[in-house]
Amino acid sequence: MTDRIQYGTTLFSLTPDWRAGESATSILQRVADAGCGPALEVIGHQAWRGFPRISGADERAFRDAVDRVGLIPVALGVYTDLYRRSGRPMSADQAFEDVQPQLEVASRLGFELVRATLGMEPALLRRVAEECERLGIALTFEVQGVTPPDAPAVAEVLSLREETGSPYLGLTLDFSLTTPALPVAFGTALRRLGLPAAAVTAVHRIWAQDEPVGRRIGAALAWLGGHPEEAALTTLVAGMFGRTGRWQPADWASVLPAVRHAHAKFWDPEVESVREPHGAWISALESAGYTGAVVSEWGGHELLDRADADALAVTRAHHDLLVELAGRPAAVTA
Amino acid sequence: MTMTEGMVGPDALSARDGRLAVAVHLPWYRSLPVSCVESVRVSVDGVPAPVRSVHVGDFAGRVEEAAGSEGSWDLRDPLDVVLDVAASPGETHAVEVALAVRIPYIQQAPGVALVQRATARTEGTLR
Repeated sequence: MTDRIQYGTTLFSLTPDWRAGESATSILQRVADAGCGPALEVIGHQAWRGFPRISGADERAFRDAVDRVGLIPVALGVYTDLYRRSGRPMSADQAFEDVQPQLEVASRLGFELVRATLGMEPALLRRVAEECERLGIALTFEVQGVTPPDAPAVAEVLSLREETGSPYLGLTLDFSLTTPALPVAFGTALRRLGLPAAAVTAVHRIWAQDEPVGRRIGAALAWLGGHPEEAALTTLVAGMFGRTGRWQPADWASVLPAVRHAHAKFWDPEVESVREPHGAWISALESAGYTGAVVSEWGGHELLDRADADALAVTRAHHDLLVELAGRPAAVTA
Repeated sequence: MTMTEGMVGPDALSARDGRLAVAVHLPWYRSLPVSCVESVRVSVDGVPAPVRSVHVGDFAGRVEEAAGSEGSWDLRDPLDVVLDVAASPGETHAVEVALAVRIPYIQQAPGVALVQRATARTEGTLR
């Protein structure tokens, strides 16, 4: 952590390049060359074959690469794959054994913190938090989309934080909490899956209604019934509704002291669409004295084809916007 | 790149030991346990084709045996799907693959893991 917000990129944004087989060192180099650092978030299960079993050579290669290109490993995405077996979740012991090696790797690779999925069962949460403290890395849980600031899972984290006073526990805040309008790319994806225009319009109208998200999802899914691509459309619609919240930063004011990391999430290649909400979040974080990282996170690759947008070009445009919103001159690019 | 884009490329089809094989890439952003493969359905030239075996990383076996695997389906690796369909190099076929893969860390409802269902089509000449 520094005394001011550090901007950067999560390599999740470059998912199309990972899926196409590009190596970690090549991706790191291109991100740095595009001026999209210095803060760096990496998803372990995306970047390394066999993660979390990575070799000493992998470790050295990563550390050398980030040093060489001037990136700072801030956050590592870690997971508890609770439903590795169909129908029954892992026990708390199994879940701990699943995530513990990932925490070790985060520490070995020099990350300051890990980002996990919100909703860890309380006894496991306590155990994982203790392990992170032992390793000297912070444990954060992501709040995004429609998650309310008083969600039980958020309260669990805040309460354990208060009880232990640990500086190694907190939240990753995702700017999708404030999504004034559905991404244009979402409409593109619906149409490409063959959803008729009337249904696309209805889904957008329902999203904007003043109803709880569960009810809105139910109403929107009713327009998908019987469609040949119903399964894909259902995942897309339910997923997008859940990840596009209507909160304002003020709704989260009391939680901000617990924020250790942040995602500036966006979907549309036209980055001006997020100028207002992302500016509001940067102001709110600055006012709260936040000194962690804000990383650009592009999710548009879920909605668009590679020919529609280049992940790094979009990321660079968004990174420049973030730096502008923070009132600083844009980083000089190599 | 939507999750479905690149799942089955134009060079995905091959003939292996006299059988048609399809290379299927993972329609997700990270590697997943092999045990999360729930179903693989394939049709060739519009006709449903029985899946003989699937292979990825250390795992080789029937689709239903994937559930017991400890292996990983790496993001970079295709799942090789071998069909009980006689085939020779040089033939041209249209193939559709419908894959269901469980996302083990996302619950769409309490106690119910999200299943990502993706369908992709390709037409190509067998290698």
